[in-house]
Amino acid sequence: MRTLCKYAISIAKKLGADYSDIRITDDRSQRIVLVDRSPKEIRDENVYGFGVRILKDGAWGFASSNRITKKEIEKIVKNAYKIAKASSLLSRENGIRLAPEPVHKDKFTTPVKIDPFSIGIDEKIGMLLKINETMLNVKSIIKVYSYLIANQREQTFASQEGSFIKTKITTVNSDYTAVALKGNDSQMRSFQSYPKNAGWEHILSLKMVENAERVAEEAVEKLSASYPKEGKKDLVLNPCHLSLTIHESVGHPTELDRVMGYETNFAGRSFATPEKLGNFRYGSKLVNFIADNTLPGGLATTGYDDEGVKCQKWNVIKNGILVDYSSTREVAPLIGERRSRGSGRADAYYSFPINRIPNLYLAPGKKDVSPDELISRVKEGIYIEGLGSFSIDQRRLNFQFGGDLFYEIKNGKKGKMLRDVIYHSITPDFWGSLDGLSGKKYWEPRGIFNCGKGEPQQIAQMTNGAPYALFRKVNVKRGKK
Amino acid sequence: MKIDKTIIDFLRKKKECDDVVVYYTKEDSNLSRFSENRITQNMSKKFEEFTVEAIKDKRIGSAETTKIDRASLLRTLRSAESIASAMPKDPEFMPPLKPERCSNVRMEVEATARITPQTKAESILHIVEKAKSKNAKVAGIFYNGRKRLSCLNTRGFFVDHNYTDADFSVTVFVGDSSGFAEKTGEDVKKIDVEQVFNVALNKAEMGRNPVKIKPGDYPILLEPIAFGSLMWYLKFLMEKRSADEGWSFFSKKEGKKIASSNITIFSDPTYPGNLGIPFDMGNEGLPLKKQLWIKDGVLRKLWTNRYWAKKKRVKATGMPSNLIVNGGKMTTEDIIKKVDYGLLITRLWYIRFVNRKDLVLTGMTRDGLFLIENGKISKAVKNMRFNDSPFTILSKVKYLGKPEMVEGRFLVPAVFAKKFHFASTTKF
Repeated sequence: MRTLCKYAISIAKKLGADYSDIRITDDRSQRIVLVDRSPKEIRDENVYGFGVRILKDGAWGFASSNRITKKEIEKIVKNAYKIAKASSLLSRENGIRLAPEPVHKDKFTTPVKIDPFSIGIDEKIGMLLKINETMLNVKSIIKVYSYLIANQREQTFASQEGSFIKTKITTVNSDYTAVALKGNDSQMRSFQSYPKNAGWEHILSLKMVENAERVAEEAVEKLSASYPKEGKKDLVLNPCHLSLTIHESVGHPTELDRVMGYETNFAGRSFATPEKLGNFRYGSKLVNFIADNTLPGGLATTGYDDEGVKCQKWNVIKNGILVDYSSTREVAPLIGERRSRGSGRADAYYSFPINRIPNLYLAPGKKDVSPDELISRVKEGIYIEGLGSFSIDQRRLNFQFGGDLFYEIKNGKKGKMLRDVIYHSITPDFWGSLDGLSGKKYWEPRGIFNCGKGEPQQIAQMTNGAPYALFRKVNVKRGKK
Repeated sequence: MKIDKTIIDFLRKKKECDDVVVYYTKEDSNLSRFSENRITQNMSKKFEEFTVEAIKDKRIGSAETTKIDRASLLRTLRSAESIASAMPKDPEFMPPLKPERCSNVRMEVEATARITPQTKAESILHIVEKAKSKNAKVAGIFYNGRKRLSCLNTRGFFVDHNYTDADFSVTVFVGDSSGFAEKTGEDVKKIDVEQVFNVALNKAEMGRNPVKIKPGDYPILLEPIAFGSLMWYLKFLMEKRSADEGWSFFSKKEGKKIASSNITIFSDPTYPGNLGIPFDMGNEGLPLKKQLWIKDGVLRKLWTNRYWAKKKRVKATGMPSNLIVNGGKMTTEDIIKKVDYGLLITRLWYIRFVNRKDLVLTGMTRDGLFLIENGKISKAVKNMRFNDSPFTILSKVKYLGKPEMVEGRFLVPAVFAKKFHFASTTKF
């Protein structure tokens, strides 16, 4: 591998590249999907290839191939160079400058206790069948889905600057959903698991089979739950639910490429523009967001990003004030930053690394407050668990979220189950209404497995953690016609 | 390695299972992405993959590889066989397809495959210069690709489709106002980059100084790009099994009127002006035929896979690869002249379910929202969030424009509908 990388870089240098790098990526993925009692997808995938990035005269060229031979590497490097020259037609006035990064010669491997690929297919199918069977045995459940995914990426990165980095990242993910039906009405409930960079031990720790009956029963219970009264309500949100709200309303707006207009045509821009750095009140004083790509088990904990930048930890929002962004080597200098935050990631050998959300979490409260104590501070409100509907505008201001399970809160107590609840807000108003956080003990890292961004669209993974949190006077609506 | 019927003989000789199904995909594409008036990403992708399904006594195992040679194909077959051995019998098992006639759809245009990054960069430079002269900024993509999809099995079934596609989309910013336009198709020569840019520029210029209006019910004129983004939901959800099982919007609606009488929706991979892939890769390569889904507002049929079709004793349709909505001859401008009051919507964004059973969706308007008053665009409006069903639109259609091809191979018209619900507004 080292020889092939050196060969690619040597050709790029000879051609006159100002900068070049190569990633040789071997992705293995095992995906098992069961619908009712029928195995719908049992797939073992191996995607192997390389991508070469060349910077010439301030412009990028990128080319890739699934055929890893010396001859093909030479062809692809030459193509990447040619493409960079074409791009440079538009780089005369504002060519790319890369933020410097120390040279790294290193290895990083996800700590794994039990290799998920060492577990037999029969054992995995057996677990999912048991889950589906348990849920189908609950009256009124008419449909069940379950899945299990194990991914492993072995990657070699080499750059013209001399970095040579080998990484091996293992990720596991599994979840299930039950559909309940009564007359013309149906409701769904999911286990609401979370993915992690870890081995099979994570799947075992989730106690998925043990929870299947409860999940199915809750799907049925949702059918007879009440609709919410519309209006301003206090909300207590659990960490699983909040992870997606964080992802959409803090993670994406603080991606520096988006801030600088790179996503204008597709994913959109951001309201969190650079002149706001250090002075914009994003939320109440309780709001502290920390990005940490060294977080154990985090989905963006990869040792190095796909530009060879070492993973880091930094503050994004401190005491409610916007203080930093995630960034790549290309966009960091655009606001005068001297180093990339190491957020350039690509979803396959054929993808160009783009600015992705890091592991980003809402810090827990300083006191050891429990979720029940947060609920006790609410006169009239709603407690929301899990992920549901989600949508946000293209500058990340107007958002609307649902959830998976809802309970009324009355006079400090959790009451009857509700259904079809949605809430709407504007990002800084919402975070400005944060009035309570549970303690460290109740903080949970949750993972986002399918974050789409870029053209062509790339899918990335990152962890968004949170404690339980109390928000005041949020606009609640009924998500049903 | 040649992808043809000789692979069938090879697999027949080597298999240690009952049947083998192989899917082959190949992509050779280039995408130039630009923003802030320069190219930010310019890439070439070469990708090939075999997906091998081994079938053993109603057990199916599947393995995939990007190593394209006979030795790798054989290794992948062995992996698939090993997975199949560990599987339980599939209660919904369907045997592989027998050889069947499939439409030959010519969607390969050499010019599309051959356009170079240099030529595309020159086109982008041209519109960047134009944008600068108008104090505007542009962002967008210029994509071209050649693809191949094949599906074969050891019972002798073989379907194969080569096609090209191109896409030019652009967002123009004038001050704080944005406009969007896009053109897609198999022939890059039919994409007039400057014309697409001019449409987006015009929207951005008209969109300056937007006013905030109250959320609520409004008549709407959806342009084809906005309508097309709702069509994705129809394509995936107009499915028979979930409807028969009772948890779909379409449950108990077959044969019933679900849209205005002027709405007819069909699919046909051979339809001129909107060709589609002639088989369904998600349904073992099942050849696709012309299907009438909604006729004069009545739901005639829902798409179904082979297993459910057999169970319900209907013919399997597969999932359509294109959709065509009938229209008229009017341009969007012609329709505007007929509208007394309503909102003109250019593009919708971040569409998600609010309530799946009722098919209530939410999403935002973007890149051009305007108020129409007395047959004219009177002012730009700040973007709004909708919470409503596409069938609120389809059941209240007053005018239909001339169909245009938009993303995802949807040939759809601009649609004027009497009512659509907006739940909230945003800041821009």
